[in-house]
Amino acid sequence: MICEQCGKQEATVHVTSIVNGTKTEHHLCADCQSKENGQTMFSSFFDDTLFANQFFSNALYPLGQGGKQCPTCGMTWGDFNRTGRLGCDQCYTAFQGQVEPLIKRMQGTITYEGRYPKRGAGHLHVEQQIQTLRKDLMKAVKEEQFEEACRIRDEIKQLTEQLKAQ
Amino acid sequence: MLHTILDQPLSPWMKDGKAGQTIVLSSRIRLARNFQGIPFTSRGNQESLSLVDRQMRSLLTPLQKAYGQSVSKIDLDSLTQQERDVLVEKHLISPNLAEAGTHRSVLISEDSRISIMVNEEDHIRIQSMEAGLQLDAAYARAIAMDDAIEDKYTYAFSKQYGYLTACPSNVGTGLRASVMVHIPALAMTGKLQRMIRSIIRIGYSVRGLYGEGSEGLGHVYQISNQRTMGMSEEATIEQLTKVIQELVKEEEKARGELWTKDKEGLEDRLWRSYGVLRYARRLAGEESLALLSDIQLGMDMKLLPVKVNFNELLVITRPNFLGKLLGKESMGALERDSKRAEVLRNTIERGSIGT
Repeated sequence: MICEQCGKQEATVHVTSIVNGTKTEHHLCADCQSKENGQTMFSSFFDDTLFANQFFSNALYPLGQGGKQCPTCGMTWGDFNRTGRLGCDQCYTAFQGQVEPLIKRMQGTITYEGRYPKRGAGHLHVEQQIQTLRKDLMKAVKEEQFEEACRIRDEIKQLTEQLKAQ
Repeated sequence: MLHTILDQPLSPWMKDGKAGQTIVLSSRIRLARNFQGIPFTSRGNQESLSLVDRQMRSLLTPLQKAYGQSVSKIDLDSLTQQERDVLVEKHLISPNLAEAGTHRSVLISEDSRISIMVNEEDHIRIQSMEAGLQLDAAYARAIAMDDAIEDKYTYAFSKQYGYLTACPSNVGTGLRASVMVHIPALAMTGKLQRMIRSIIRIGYSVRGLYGEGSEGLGHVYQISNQRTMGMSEEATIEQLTKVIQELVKEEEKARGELWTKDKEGLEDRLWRSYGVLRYARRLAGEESLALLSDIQLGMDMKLLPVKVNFNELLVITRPNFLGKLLGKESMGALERDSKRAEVLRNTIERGSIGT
């Protein structure tokens, strides 16, 4: 294999680095390698890119502190502490242990009570509708609005069947 | 449409608003959303940011259809910094989005009620505005846009945490409901601080719209909900509406007090402000906000024979809007103050009835 830098000499140094889940390979001849780093071949072992490697960072920061990474976007909890922003939707799962108490502190609760996406969460939408209707049903019965209660009960039945069909 | 937006201080929706609703200037609903499977903005790269941008571009037609009006996409890179700042002054984009980066844009409806920011802190931020206290109506429009977008592209959403946002302070409903109010009498009767404290105690944020932090220049404040978890969107809006209705009652009571305690003193103050606006040759931004506040109060209490639109005037006094009006990229402070005074003189004169 020819050195990728000078394109002339045979590549004798092969470095594989995994940074943020992405693997890159470099193939250099001894001359270009030492020119590149101003160091010897062995000193490149202490190159930063190797420490970004998940294996090493887990050794340095055990128990998922600064080094814990989201497997999808590569963000670390340390990054979040710095920027206050998460990297992707999967971060909520990757850092659940840390994010959940944070949400609890900020919002006072970790229960979601809002609406569901109309199309994407189709069955969840219907489930939520049924939940609301059940509450309405109880209210109607309590207020002795029996006709209304019957109507709601029928609607619940219809939606439940719709749900089974999905 | 871009020209209209940048040159006209009055957004079409500001012309609405029921009579007597001048304590509440506007209602705003903001929904934060992200697309599934695409890194959030701060973690995104050229490719992902560009993908979000392309997706939003492809939504122009369905959005137009859902809203029943034309919707334009403005790429912020194609504007000058001054033009971007005008959009901020008109409350169409946030200061954050105005600090141009790549692939940042905003979709605006013809009446400016709807503005959708693209690649701000989250992929999209839908904003819906209405004159007066109309959070319900603003919300209905926002949801219509939300559904139209989600119909084509899947949102990042979990049953557990709701709509997933870049910042956990927005996760859940992703809803920020806010109301802009003008409460001069509460300030003048010394009741403002107590009022603000009690609103904050029930979990809302109160921020002066102009000035640093909560300075409240022009007695204009923005009151917003803080929580996006543990409460439905409807409940959030209902509660905020009730809080504002109480606030309006208190402001009206305070105005009554001003009238009974010293009507002439009040008139003196209001007419003086009127005089300055009619004849001053230089007006700094801060001073003009205070003067306009008096004009609006005078109008509300029928003590000044003026008919002007407060929302419009607030925008006119903004530095970048003035700069754009003058056709100058940058202006000295004195030149700007001179132009501001001129524009206000003309506007107040035009709106004066019989003086």
